Amino acid sequence: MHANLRPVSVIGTGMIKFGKYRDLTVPALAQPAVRDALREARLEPKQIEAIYAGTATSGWMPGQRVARDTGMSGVPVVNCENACSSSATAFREAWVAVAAGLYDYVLVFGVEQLTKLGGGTLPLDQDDIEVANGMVMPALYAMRAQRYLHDYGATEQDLAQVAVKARRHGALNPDAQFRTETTVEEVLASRRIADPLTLLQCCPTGDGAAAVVICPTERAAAHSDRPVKVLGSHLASGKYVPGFRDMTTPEITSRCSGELYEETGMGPEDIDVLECHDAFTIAELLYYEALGLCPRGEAVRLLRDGTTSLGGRVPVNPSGGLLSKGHPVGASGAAQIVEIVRQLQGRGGSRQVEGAKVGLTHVTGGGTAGFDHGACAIHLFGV
Amino acid sequence: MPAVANLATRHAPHLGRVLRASDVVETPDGLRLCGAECAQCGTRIFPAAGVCPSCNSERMQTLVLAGEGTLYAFSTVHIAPAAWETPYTIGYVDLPENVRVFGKVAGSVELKPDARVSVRIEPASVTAATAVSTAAGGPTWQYWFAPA
Repeated sequence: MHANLRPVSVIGTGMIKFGKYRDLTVPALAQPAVRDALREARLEPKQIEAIYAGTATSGWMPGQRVARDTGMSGVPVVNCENACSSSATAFREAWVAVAAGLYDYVLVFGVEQLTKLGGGTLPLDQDDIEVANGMVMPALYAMRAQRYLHDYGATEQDLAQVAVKARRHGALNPDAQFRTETTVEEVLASRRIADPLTLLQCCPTGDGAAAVVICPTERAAAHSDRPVKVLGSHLASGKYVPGFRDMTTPEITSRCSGELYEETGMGPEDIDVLECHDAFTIAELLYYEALGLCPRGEAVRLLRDGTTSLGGRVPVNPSGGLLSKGHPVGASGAAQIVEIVRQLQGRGGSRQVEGAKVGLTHVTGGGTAGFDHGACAIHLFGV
Repeated sequence: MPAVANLATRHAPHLGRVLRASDVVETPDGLRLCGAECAQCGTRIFPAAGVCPSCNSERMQTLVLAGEGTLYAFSTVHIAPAAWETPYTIGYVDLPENVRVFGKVAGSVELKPDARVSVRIEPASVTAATAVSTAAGGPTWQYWFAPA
């Protein structure tokens, strides 16, 4: 970690059950999560010194609109848009500010209301040459899947097993959008979206919000019986490549995690539990490899032998992940942090990863021509 | 800015973006896509731009691209924004100049990754062209890929 930065801890968490809330406003979605996080941190709204808000499609000044309705108007507010990494980016910027000594008590939240967009695939930038030729996000991942199956001999059943695991975990999470289990047969028989991906291999349209409060570690004990330390934070953006690119190597995630491991002196072997960006089934397999859990081409083995299931060596997405918990784009990064913090506090309920001391969160996204992805944010937490 | 087809216009399934007149060149071997190469660092891109995305040089030269390439990966899309007729197939094609071009893929032959495909170019169709800005002048084009 950088020598001049103060250690920072998470002292409060909150989130709403992800789902479809067409009749609510964006501030109304965020309020319960924000209130829970403040209450957990034993803080009054007036004690919050700055707000960092992450959202991709909520319009102008979502942070101010939430601050207005929760007794915090007037403090500095930073609104972060970084596609699926929006609220993880907000968390990182908040961490930078607290670690640098600028503020002591900072609120971070993520919120998204995808049902307002009418469902279907996410609206992308129509000036992008790939979008103008028919690109949609499921197709981008579908091509990665096709190539991964082609290069490494994985099967469509292997892809489906990712969804089966996600639903099995999500069934244990009261905040998950989907709480029913599924089978390989059901996954493969569901509606075709972008071959080889079927409906149950794609994260759902949904709404949600999640919030956390952070402060300097030296103050954390006064606000939480079980504060969780931020061990590392890293943000990367996509590198433009106009020619050949191996789509089975998520370059931005490999680079971002590699730099984070180097900064913290930690590695994948130190991680007890993690939440990764499983927007589509193939993504989880690619990220096992990009996060260093296994060598290239061996992700399916980890899935098959239970390493990444609850009860395994390093459970991945105990919350149900984006596939089962849901993926209200800008809220997902903060929701991952809520899950990992609660896991490290021993509050995971029936999905608790026993004895978890170190956890990782990973989000990436943003479909833009010439990039693997536009943004990636990875955080390490510990107790 | 290149001319962009208005997506409110329904495209024929195999057609995608409408190109600028300068994106296509007529050669003795037929129509070819036309990208750019940086005279300073050698970066090659499609579509062409006036500034190199690698080194910021403005010394960009015309690069005529091959008419055949390798299909890296593709997917048939069943769910898309309302402007698109589904299903349609899209894919990435690697051209020998190390330029990757994304576009619609058509043809009844069953394709596999690494298949050889050719670049098909035709004047923009009347339906799509009605919504096209032709500020650059001259005809505008559409391209797709088909089994070679």
